[in-house]
Amino acid sequence: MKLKYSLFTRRQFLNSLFGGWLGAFAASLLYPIIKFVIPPYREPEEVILPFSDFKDMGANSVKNFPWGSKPGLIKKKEDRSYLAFVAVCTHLDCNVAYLADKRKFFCACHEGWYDEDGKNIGGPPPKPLRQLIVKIEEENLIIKREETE
Amino acid sequence: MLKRRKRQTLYILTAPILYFVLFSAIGFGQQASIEKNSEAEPARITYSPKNIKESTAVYVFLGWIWLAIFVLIYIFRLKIKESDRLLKIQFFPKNKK
Amino acid sequence: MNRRLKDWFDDRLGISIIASYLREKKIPQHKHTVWYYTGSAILIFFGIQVFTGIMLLLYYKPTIETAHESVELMMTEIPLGWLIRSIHRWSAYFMIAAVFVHLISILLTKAYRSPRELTWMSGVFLLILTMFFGFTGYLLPWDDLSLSATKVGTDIPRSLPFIGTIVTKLLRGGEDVTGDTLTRFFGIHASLLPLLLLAFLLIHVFLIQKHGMSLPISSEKRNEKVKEIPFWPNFIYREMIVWLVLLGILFTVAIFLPPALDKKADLMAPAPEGVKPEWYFLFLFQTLKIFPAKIFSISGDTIAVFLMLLVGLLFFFIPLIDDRPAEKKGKIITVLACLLILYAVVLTVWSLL
Repeated sequence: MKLKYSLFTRRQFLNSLFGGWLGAFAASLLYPIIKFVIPPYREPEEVILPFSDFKDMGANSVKNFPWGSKPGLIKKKEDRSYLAFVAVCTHLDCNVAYLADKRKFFCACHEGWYDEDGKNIGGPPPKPLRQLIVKIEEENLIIKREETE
Repeated sequence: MLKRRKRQTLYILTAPILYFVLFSAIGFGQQASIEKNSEAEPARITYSPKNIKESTAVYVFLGWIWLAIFVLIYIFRLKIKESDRLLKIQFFPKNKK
Repeated sequence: MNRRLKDWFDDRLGISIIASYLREKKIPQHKHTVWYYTGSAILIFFGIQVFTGIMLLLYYKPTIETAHESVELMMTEIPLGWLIRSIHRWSAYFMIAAVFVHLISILLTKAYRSPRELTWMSGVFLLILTMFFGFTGYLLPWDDLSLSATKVGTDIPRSLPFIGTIVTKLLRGGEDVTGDTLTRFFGIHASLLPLLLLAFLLIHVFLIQKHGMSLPISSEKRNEKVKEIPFWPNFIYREMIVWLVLLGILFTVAIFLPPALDKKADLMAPAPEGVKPEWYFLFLFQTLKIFPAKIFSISGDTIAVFLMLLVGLLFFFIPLIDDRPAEKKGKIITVLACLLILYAVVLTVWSLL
């Protein structure tokens, strides 16, 4: 079907063309800006720690280590094996503490509780604490990101 | 007559692009990412896009910017013609004064 | 619907008053109209400076330990950091070049004549602020060349009697150029100068609106009616074309010729070879160089600095000195102005050789 009259005038067409290109031009300037403003994500692939620092830990105790810009916790279990966590609450990003007497991780911000394996058991946290892989290689303790991610 | 003027403006506008494309072709040899001094001194850092992905993105961006500029200039010229004509026929009575 | 929304806002904001003002504002059309575009070109580069400057602030850390490292990080790690820095640098160059063109065009067409004396003087302040922007910004990456250039630059006032030492100390934040100087320059560059520049810019632009566009002497003398077009929309479309082309050129240069970062400045190391200030200071730099160490037992530097100050003052007061621009006196002043420009160009080229 051919319309007898155009649905919009030549002026409207030109104006929208004009606005469209101007908008596209401005939007494309946003590309470098956004690229620049968002810094690259810099979580480490792995962290290597001297094993000697962790050898003498007692069972059911934890020790801090830096995981990039987040705190990490290494926990020695009763069976003398090691666990590593990113010690950040999965609720709203507060740092958590390990309460050895209660055998629980505790987040003070909103009273979140995790059991000794990092599973969320009370309060608002929606997910267990993030676990990292621990490997002992001769003199070093190597802590890696979980492969599933 | 008008055609000639159009062509002239086009030349004037493309000259800087050509110039810098040539310039960069000459200069790129030296723009290896980091020049090492002979000693262990910290190097002088010069920079150009470090991998193909980034350089492609940057050049596509630049090409697109120039394309948008040319189209916008074309539209602006139409707009100028229109507004000059409106001025001539005194479309806005206020302008008479 | 659209109309009603428009009216609602207009009742509250009064946009139509501004719109009709812009429509009433007239731009004369004559053979010197080209120069009217230079002012807004400066403005657009200044806008880019403010914008990219704020972006650089996101990553820059202004202390002696971290400044160089943070710029290095920006150039190597942060996505497109090199490009943002490059645009900031090139836009500064373009802005200063546009300032020079604007200045020379007004000087030679004598647009400063009555009643626009104060417009000129506020413009001279803007010029000084712009140069100072360049001077303080140059130090911020804290690399080899910038340190030496700043040492030399801040030492120049010392040759003035009485106040010289104090001025140098004030600039440096101490006896020598140190980390304190860096922090001080950063504060000046990123906070004091933008505010001052905005203040003078407001005065400058207000005065231009008040007096309208200046006409060339020739057409003013003949007292003829000059063809005019409204600023909005006829002139603004023409200006936008200029802005777009300038933006395109700026991006092209910035992408293909990003500035390098020299090795970190060492306060104890001897000055590197080829220390030169930025190109817009070269004529001053060369002037200092050609003066002999002693002239009649007075230090050559002192005389050079005094001469520069004198020329600067004459320059500032030109509208008052050049009170009969169309007569013989005015013509002599034009010749002198041309000579001054020629001098600056020749010395700049000389110091580049």
